Parts: sequence; structure tokens; C-alpha cells
Amino acid sequence: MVNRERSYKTEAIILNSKSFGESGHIYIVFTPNLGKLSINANGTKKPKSKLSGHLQITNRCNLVISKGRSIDTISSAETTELFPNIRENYDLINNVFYIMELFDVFNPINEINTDAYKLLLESLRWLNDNQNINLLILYIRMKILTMSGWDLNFSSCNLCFDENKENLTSISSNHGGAICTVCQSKINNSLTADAQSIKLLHFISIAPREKLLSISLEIPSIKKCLAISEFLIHDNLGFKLKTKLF
Amino acid sequence: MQIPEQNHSVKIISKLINELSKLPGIGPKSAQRLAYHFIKLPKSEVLELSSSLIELKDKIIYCDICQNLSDENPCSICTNNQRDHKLICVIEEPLDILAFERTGSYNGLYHVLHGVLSPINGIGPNNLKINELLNRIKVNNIDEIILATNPSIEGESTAMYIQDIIGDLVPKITRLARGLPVGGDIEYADQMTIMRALQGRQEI
Ligand SMILES: [Zn+2]
Ligand SMILES: [Zn+2]
Repeated sequence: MVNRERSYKTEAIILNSKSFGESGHIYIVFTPNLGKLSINANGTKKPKSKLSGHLQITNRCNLVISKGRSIDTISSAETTELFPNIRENYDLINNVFYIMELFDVFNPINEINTDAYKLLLESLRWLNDNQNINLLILYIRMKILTMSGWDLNFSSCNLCFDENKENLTSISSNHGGAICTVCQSKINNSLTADAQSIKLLHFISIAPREKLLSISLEIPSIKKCLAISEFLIHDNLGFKLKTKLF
Repeated sequence: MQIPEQNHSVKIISKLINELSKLPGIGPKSAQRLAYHFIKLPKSEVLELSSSLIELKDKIIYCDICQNLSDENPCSICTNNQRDHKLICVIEEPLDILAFERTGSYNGLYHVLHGVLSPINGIGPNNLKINELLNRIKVNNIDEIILATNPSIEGESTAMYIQDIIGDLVPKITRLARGLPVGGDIEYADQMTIMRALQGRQEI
């Protein structure tokens, strides 16, 4: 019997690409209904490739993918949305590389996460507008942590259960959230953090973008939260991202 | 303590598999196949392969000036007095030189970066020959630098980065025109290519 499903169609955002074989690439793409895929395309290094222009990192495309024995191959691609401002600005490119790496490391191959896809699309549009980029990074980090099951307790010390808020001076995601001054000295991986920043981080992790943009946040408090959120990301992953920001 | 014979040999095989899978286009599966292929080969053939690899490493060197692969230092392009020594074309890979040379219409020098900035793949400015370019510009009298990295997002960010650090040192910095390829079909071109082609249109 003929296998009718030799190819499939999907929408996708291109996360990363690496050269592969004689003249092609391997693409890491993120899709709304199939999760993250690692697929290849042939001839994409050639100037006349009909695919390569569509398969640029950040592009949102409609793909037709042929099933293969070891790896699936892109047979057609058409851009449906592109983010031209990002490509013209060195800072935005650096930020987009960071964002792509975050989505790459937090989403295992073939694990469907439609909310993460929506977040990625929203983030690219936000970045392309080149407004409040620090807040955007903070927003993505907290949303990604929430999606990966970030559920930390900040109302008491997670080691000795001390409920006096004054004593809660640091956080550790390994130990479940807030840590008191006494316990902080007993553990390895913790970060000094003030109660106000932690409250703000919690708000960012649940607030929709519009609500977040409607309140005015001061730069020093955003910077403080950025440092804490960076720590939380690393603590959660257990390794440092390759892309460096700021 | 004595290591059992079998574990020892497995360690050697896994080391080879590990080395082979670092090669471009070779995944862990192919690396495994190749490793077992080498085991079956006669020793003479393996020796021939390994000696040609070592010969390659011993005799092929990088030109100190342009960082291109060569068997002499400086290379034949950098020592050619018929070429314009005040014009440098900055490219990603040694093979790109062949592409320019094939045209017969470029007479300046080159500078090979050996890659592009790609933070997500762990490649930063220090992994590329950017400092070498900077030093070269500082000690030579350069009229123009052509940034000829690929029109990919990595190539573009590399060009922007270099432009930023050499901007005050060179009178003229140019970027290769980006637009429709010769023989290409507008119908199939992506939006970015058409936008760029429109931006770079010329009066005739
Ligand atoms: Zn405690
Ligand atoms: Zn040279």
C-alpha cells in the first residue's frame, strides 16, 4: 500500500541553522503543533536556492516537509511574517540570538508547546518594535520559567520554614524559592534578592504584555530583576547560555 | 589496578567515534560506522590516511597577513605587487576567495575571518580573525574595506560588528550589494531579498 503521508505541512519560526553536507543546512525550527523540529534543506548555500531566503533565522514560514529515514527535509518554504528591523540593528540581533537560544534550550525536540510558540511570535514582534527591550527579556525569561513549571514559594524560608519576611534575603530555585539569612550560608547556589524584586518578578510571570506595558517600571528595579531572572534561568537549566547579553 | 582488555579497547573506539563526530556533516551514527570501517581496513590504508592528514597539518599554513590557507607565508596573493594593497575584501571562509578570484574582476587583497559571529553556536569575536584585521588596518594605509560576509543574520551581524570597531580607521567601508541573484526568478524571491533589491536599485 502507498504511504499517503510522505510529507506534512506546518507553520514554523526558524530558531537556528548550521551548515550540513555539501551545500545544505540543518534548521532548528519551532512549530505551534509539532514542537521543536530538527530538519534539513538541500542546496540552501547556493545563491539561487528558492528556500534559503525564506529560511532565515527569525522568519515565520509555512513549510512543506518530506519525511526521511533519519531526518526530514524541507521541500518548500514561504515566509508569512518577517522582522526586518531586527536584522538592521546589532543590539537587536544579539537579543534575538539570546531569545532563540532560550527557546531552543527550554524546548526539547518534538515536545509540543503551543503557548511557547505564541510567546516566541509575540517576542519577535515586540523586539522588532525596538521598545523596552530589557522588559521584553525579563518577560520572556519569567514566562519561559512559568511554562517549564516554575512554582517557587516566597512566603517562607524553604529550608527552616521561618515565616518572618524580614529574614528572607535570598532565593534558590533548587531549594524551592526564598531562603532566610541564616540558611543562605548553608547552601551553595543562592542569590541575594530583595522582597520587592521578587514580588515584581512574580507579577511579570503572570501579567499579560499589555498590563505590563501599562505600568511604569523604573530602570533600576528592571535591572535588579534582570540579574535575578538570569540567575533563575541558569539555576533552572544547570548550565550557562552561550549567548551573552549586555 | 588492571583495566580489562575489552573496556580498554571500547574506550579507544569511543574516543575515535567522538573525534569523528566532530567533523562537519558527520553525526554520531555515521561516526560509529566510520570507526568500525577503520577497524576492518588493512593497517597500510589507515596509515596512508593518517599520514596524509598529518602532512596537511604540517604543510598547509595560514598566511600571517590575510589568514588564508597557503603553503607559503605570506601567501601569493599578499606578495603580488600587481594587486591593489589598499583594498581589502573581508570574507568568511577561504573558499570564498576562490569565488572572487573566478570572476577575474577583483584586484585587491583579502582577509579571511574563518567564520561568522554566532553566539548561539558559541562563536564570538575572539574566535574569528577580527583582531588580526584590526592590526592589519592600523599598520597599513588602507583606502577601502569591503565587508563581504554572507547576507545571513550571522553574516550581517558580523559585518555590523566589524564596521563598528574599524569605522574610525578606514576612509571607506562598503558592503556587497544585496538583491536578486542573476538568473533568479522574482516570483520565487523572498520578501527580504525583494526589499533589499528595491533599496539598492540604481538609476539607468
Ligand atoms: Zn531558613
Ligand atoms: Zn595572504
